Amino acid sequence: MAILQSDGVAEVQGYGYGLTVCSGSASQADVARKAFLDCSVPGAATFDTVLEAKTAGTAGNSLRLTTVADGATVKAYLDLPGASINTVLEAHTAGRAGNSITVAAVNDATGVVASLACNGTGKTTGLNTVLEYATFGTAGNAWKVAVEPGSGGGEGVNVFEDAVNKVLTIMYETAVSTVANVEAALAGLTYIAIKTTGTGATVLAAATDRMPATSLAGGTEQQYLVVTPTTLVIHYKATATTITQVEALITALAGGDDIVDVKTGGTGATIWASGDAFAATPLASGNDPCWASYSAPLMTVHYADGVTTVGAFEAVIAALSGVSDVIDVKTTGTPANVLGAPADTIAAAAFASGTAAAAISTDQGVGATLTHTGTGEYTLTLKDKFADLIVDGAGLNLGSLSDQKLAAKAWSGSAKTISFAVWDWSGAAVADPVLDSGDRLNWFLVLSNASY
Amino acid sequence: MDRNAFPFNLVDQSKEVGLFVGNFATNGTSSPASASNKGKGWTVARTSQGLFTVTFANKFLRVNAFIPFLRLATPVARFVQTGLIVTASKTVQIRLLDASGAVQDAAAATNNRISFIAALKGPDNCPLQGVFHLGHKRLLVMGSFGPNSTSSPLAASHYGNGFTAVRTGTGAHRLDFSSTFNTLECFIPSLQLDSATDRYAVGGALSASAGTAVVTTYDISAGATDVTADANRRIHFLAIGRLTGTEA
Repeated sequence: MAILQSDGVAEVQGYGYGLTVCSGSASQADVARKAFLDCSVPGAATFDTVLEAKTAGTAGNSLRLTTVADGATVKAYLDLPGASINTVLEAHTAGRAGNSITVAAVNDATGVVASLACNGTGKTTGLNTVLEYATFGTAGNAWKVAVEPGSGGGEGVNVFEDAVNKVLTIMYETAVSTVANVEAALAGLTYIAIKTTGTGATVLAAATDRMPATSLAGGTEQQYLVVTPTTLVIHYKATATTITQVEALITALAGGDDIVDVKTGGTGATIWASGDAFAATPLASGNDPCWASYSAPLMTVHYADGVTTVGAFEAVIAALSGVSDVIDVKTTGTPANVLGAPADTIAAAAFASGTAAAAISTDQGVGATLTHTGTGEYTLTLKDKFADLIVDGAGLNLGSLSDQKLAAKAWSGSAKTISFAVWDWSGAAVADPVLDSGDRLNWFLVLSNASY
Repeated sequence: MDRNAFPFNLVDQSKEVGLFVGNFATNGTSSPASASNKGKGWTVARTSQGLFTVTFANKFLRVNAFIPFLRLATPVARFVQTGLIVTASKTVQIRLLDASGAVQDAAAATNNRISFIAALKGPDNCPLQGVFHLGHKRLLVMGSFGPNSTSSPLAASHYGNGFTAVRTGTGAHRLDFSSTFNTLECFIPSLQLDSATDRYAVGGALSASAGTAVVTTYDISAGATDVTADANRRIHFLAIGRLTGTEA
């Protein structure tokens, strides 16, 4: 049995296989630390949260925090710009989010009443009356009119409005009823009216004056709204639409469309003019009790004096996203503490103590070098190439016990690397170990020159 | 002892302790495919969920040390733990556990593997087993001992030579090696338990000049914890110490 020295730890000649033990350990004086700011230090009285940079390293030392006591619960609003229009709208929900809602007005509604000429192809011959819906709008397009002869028993003209099925049925007495008789019967109906009278003396016949249920058409709205989660467009008809009508439409918004309400009603009878149209204009002045804005490197947090709690402040920090997501709560404060002014007002307080990671020292063992390659991940690069890896042992030496364990992750013979990950039980994720002096990352590999 | 059966036969002075190494790929709810095995002198089967039984080809008197390792392509809350060792059937159990100590399977994946190193004492009794020379500058020490609740381990529970273990605090034991070192290059402990529990062994302070290493039995849910005595509750370890300050 030969035991050979090599530039690895030891090369061992097994039966049919050249096996090499490569073991060692590495220390790291310190991982990169996150810059932090104890909010109570700048003089804040009840503000006991400690914040930290989201990313470890010295760059976090440039972060600054300002707190401003101008938070409040305010709905965004807009005094509609039209010269004739004095309605004031407000966001349905309070907060700064309302400032993203825009309102526009367009003078393009036509306000046509749906109608139907009873004679023509496929309709009657003698009944040349034109009927219309009672009001403008597309609702009239849903109505139909049917004309039928009666049973011939001297019944005259009878009309029936079916509001459920939206059908007007006209029944006439064959060879007796005239157009004038029909028009007389139509007077006073709820939904359908006469738009243009026909030839009153014409007597209706059985064969030619029938009309199957036929839809009214051409009805359009005089004013209507188009709504998205952040836009409201008022379509109106100049010289026809009143302030009351538009406000009624806005008040009737419901569900997901209910993004704005009437804050202050205008002069209801005033009619919108062509010059009252306006381009998309945002609501303004919406405010929250606590919110944050970020303009590198300054994070400004607005809070409400005597209202905002430490817990609410920390929730705002936790909700940061996108480019503003640069700080986290390092240590939570007393959630019920209420921030006051000026006691808890902070002016551009600097984060500090962010440090770069110390270099990893592979000072024990030979034949391999360990580098930190990601959060909680280390990669061991072997000096020599091996065909296979038989044992990939790893372990942490910790002076202070923690919920962390080191294990192998991935082996690449061609790249001569094996990566290790530090699993943190309590954090339920990989994490950099908090290495103190003397703590070490150990590895024990048995490598094969031949592939299995 | 038929040393010719050992694929990796690093021997001590008495030439009676063999090292077995190997690894196998996890395969979900199925047994590892034998084609995935790397190493010789053993086979492995999935006995039940998260429980693998390694069966050695040769008989042995006892297992001086058995240390399993888990490799996972995607790190999750898992670790491996040595279970029951039955010399009569030449078997050693390996459990795959989650953070609560519940057995779990691992899917088949390129980097999902369990490896192990075992120091097996052969039938011929020998006085100095367990200390191996790696080249002429390093010693590999492998052994195990039985924790004894709040008392120090009994001398009779020490398997392998070159060390003694004393309890120094809750869950903590100090290994006193029979040699000091220029550098204690690697120290990896492992906890064997008779039943699945969310505990493992973690290395602590090392002193090459004093020839000592600390190992603590750690409960994921409770921190450092003493382990009561049982034949299948043992702390295993491997340590590599360099004897001189310069490489060859």
